[in-house]
Amino acid sequence: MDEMTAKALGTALMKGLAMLGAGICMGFGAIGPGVGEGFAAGKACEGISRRPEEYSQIFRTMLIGQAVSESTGIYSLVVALLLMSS
Amino acid sequence: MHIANMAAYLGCGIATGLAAIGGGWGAGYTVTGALRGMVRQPQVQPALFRSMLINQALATNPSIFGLIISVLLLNLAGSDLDAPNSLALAASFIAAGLSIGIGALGSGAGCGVVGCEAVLATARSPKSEGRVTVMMLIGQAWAQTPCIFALVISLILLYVVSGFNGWAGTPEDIEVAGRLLGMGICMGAGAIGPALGIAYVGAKVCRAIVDSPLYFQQIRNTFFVGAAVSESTAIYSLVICLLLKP
Repeated sequence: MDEMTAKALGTALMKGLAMLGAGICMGFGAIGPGVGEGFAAGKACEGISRRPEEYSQIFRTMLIGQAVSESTGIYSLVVALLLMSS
Repeated sequence: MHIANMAAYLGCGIATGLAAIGGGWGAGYTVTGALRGMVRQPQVQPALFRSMLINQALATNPSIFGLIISVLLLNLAGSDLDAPNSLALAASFIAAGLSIGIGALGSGAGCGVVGCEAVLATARSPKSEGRVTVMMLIGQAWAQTPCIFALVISLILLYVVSGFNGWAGTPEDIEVAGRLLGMGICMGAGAIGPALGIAYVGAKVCRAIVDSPLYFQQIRNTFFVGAAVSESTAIYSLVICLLLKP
């Protein structure tokens, strides 16, 4: 195997594994925020049914909590994009 | 050595094997809700039974997607492929199996959770059965959308990508194989979380509209906003998947 083919294979392997890593990163990174935000919204619905007069407070808390949970999803997205562009 | 055919057999097994987990658990979990409801209110038993059967059918829907992909993979495995030694082709088949296999887990289990709470809500308040059924169907349809994304990615991997064989025998084969496996895992694992989250909201909504029927509007608004935010991570996964497509 001459040097040029070995180099091409090495580059292809590195790129291929980087792409696989990007996929794993975003794939598993979407589990946590998805479940967490759903939990937050579900408990918010329950809270509203218990105390309907506190609707705006509960809704606001839910949105802020979901935004914080979403930030970890954004981390996954950013790392996946960085891996793909390397 | 026809690794593409071997990989198609492997992907076939992965697709149904993993996709059956969520649907089976979800369908069973619905029955627990139905039984608890029947114990509470024996006189609405026919309505609960009917609702339970509908929910079970919806909960096993993602597993049927897995079965379809398995059958398609079985056909491809037995057929003459254009480039049977291509690593990229093999990776596309395994990735198709992984995508729907892992992706059906959250939807199946989630639809089962929604079904359980919906049947219990009907048992607690039989006269609001219509409203609960509408919310239940919306919740289950929404919880299945990440699984639909995974199915679409599986079909893209099976038919759009494997149709082009220009990578066979070149070093680019390895890079494309990595991309395709990344696509499969990205949408597969990315469909679990949002489906479970949306299903949890749907379940709590079914319960909440029976607990306070007067505040239906506000509860429904919270449902839509919360479920949409949870769905956004599935959209991120879908975007990365489509960017990874070679």
